[in-house]
Amino acid sequence: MKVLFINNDGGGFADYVEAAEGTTVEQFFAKHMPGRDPEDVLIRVNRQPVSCDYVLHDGDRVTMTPTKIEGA
Amino acid sequence: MKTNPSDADLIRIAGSIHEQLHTMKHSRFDHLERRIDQFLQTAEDVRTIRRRLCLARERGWDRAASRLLGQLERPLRNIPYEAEQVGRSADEAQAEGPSLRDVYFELKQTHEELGPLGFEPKNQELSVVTEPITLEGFHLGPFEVRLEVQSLGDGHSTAYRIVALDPHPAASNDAVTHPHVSDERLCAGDAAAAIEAALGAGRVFDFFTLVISVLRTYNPNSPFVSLDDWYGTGCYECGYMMAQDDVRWCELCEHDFCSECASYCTRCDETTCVRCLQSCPVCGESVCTSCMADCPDCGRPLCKNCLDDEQCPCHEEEEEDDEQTTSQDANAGEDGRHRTGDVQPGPASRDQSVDIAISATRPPSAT
Repeated sequence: MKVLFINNDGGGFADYVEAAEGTTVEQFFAKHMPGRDPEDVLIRVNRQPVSCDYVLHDGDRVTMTPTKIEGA
Repeated sequence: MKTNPSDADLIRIAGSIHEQLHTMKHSRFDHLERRIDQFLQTAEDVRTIRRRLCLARERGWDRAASRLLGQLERPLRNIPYEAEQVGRSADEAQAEGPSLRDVYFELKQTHEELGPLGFEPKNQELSVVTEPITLEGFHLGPFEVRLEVQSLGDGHSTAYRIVALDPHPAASNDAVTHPHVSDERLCAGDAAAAIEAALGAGRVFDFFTLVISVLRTYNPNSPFVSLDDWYGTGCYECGYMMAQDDVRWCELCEHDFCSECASYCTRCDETTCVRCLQSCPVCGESVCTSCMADCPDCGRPLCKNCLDDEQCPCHEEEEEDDEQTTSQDANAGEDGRHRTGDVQPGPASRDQSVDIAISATRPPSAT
């Protein structure tokens, strides 16, 4: 299945990415934001807050935004 | 500023944003055309060099041919970069903009999660107010993030402002209301690219979230004003708190001073504190300890200028003593009371000369 992933860590680009059926938000997070602490990231699926065991569906819109970003 | 906008208001605002994004899409095509022109110009330069190279070979101009090969280096180096830029610009121009519905949901999400969303119809400004922000114990107050919808197409970094609602600016600069905000502009650092991408795609909620995340985080490596200096620097002498620009550094004792407690050496012009200056006993000028020296004859401290000019008072005293001795010697000779037997032969020091002079003036009964 394909998921629209908006990664606001770094470039902030939106891309459709492949995800296996039954992938949870927690697994998706671990794969796409390695080394990041989930507590430091605002995660929304289809603009809604979800639990970590939420199972993603085809066409879902996943947004991940760091909540601790250093200015300059 | 209107807060708590109705659904109708949100739709109207979404319409403005959508329109701006449409304008941006046109400007992206213009940008792509400029990139392609640049790429073609470089390719044309290569073609020109090739034509000249053929001519040089036909005529047997080997040195000219070698020189032309050198000229190929620059365009060949630029072509991959320019091709990449064309590809990137094409991707940007091709990117589908958000629908009006998408923008509406962005506004709605912003209002629900970060709201209440403020809207100023006159300036077409959207705004969100943060909670009072405290960084490492420094209370900075709440901030209003204002996004100017009409500026979205002009350039992203100028499309928004950060307004301190209860300003606690740095002592050294009133314009710095947050370590990463100066003149209402955020230096977004690591979030800059993501903010630009969010604005370009009409993702209003992501934009506000990113900006607020930066405001809640302190980067001690590159602030406009460090939190360590937020309240200014205290004068080492009197304790007066001053802005960083007003601090005078004393090179000698290596402390910060205010303008009242600092001065400068009249010899070397070095800034020093008042305590590190001495008054030269000869010229009376205030001189730093580096520009003072001890007279090798009498050990008196005086400035190096006066020392070089042999202005130490001991020289004058010596001359006076010599004159006095000579005149007393002459008087003693005339009176026939000069007791040459008291004087030891050989060279005498200045002190010895004085002793001799004194003994020569004493009455015979005292010796």
